Amino acid sequence: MTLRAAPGESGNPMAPAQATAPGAVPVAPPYPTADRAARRAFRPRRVISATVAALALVGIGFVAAVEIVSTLVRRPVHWLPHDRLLSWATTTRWDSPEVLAGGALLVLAGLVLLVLALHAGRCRTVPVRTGDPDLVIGLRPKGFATALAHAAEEVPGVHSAKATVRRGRVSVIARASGWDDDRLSEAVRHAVSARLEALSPVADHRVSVAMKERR
Amino acid sequence: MSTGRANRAGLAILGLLLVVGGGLVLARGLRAFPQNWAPAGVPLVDQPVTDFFATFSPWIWWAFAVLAVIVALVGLRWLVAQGRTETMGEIRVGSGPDGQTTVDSQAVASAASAELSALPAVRTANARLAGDGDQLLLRLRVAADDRVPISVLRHQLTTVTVPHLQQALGADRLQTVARVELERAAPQKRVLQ
Repeated sequence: MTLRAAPGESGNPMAPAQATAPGAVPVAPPYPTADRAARRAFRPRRVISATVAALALVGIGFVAAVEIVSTLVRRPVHWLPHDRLLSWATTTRWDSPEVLAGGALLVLAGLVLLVLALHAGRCRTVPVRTGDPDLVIGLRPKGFATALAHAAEEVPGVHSAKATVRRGRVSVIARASGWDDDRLSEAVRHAVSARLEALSPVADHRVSVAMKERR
Repeated sequence: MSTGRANRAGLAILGLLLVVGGGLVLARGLRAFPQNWAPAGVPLVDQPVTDFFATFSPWIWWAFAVLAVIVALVGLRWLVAQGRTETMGEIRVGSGPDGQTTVDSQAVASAASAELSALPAVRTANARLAGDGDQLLLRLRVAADDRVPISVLRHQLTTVTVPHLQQALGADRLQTVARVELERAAPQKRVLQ
């Protein structure tokens, strides 16, 4: 199926890209609903925890079903030591340390699952501001850091740069030689901040720059 | 419900059951209940428990077996959902007395990918339609030049790609989730004069 431009629109899909100079298309203003939608879209999906929990349910359900049915039809599989378990249960009191420890363990496991379910967790994707709750855009962290390092490298005098992004902080290490460190450091900070603004992440980031002598 | 939301709901329900179950065991062991009703100084399986199972045997055991099968099936369904990819087949865009009009979701998604890929700053784009007839979701994976301002991608999506898809699908609303990989641009060529 071929899609055609709607009448009245720019029929050329290249048109917006021609204005790639920063500022040609305005950066989306803060819009709490859209920002919240972006954060929510990239929340961890808890696949590993869910897989472990699902496997535990399958295992417990399957073993219990086979044990009970096989015993009922008088062909016990004896995967579990029935007699030993029954003997333990008939001699162990509710206030015994084993039972209390078992109860505490269950509560602890339940709390861990509740925390996993309710805690938002750290996004592996950097949500960016779109100003539209129906449009969510996220950047891969590696590419995000690379783009910021690239911005630093475009400052005249900077030979190479490396950027790391962690918990709302962008740390840039730029290598240069024979330049005024303070002035260059400020220029790098300015370039990285400008790039950050163009990428418009939902979360605020602080930029710190360290200059190193080119090796 | 998306897999992420279903996982969190499942973990919350399971966690709650474990907390309540473990809490009841602890409460009985620590003598929090009236001792004439749930004493702590008796074995886990005492005479009343044995009598209860003897009275209702074997039906109680069949009930436990059914419960165990249900637990295993719920676990299996949950497990299968982890590997599920949200995709759609054909989407009905119109119907009348003479029949109905459908479009292949993959063809529509491919058209969207092609449209995005035409942007000079975009290297590759991959689109997939998910959801159901009432709530469509466009999932995009885009690899772009690391110098592209996000506003350009946003502009392309909101003014060209998404409206075209909405038009093709006859949808009033189309939620879009794009994951963008910024890739290092090739160094600019310097011309010596």
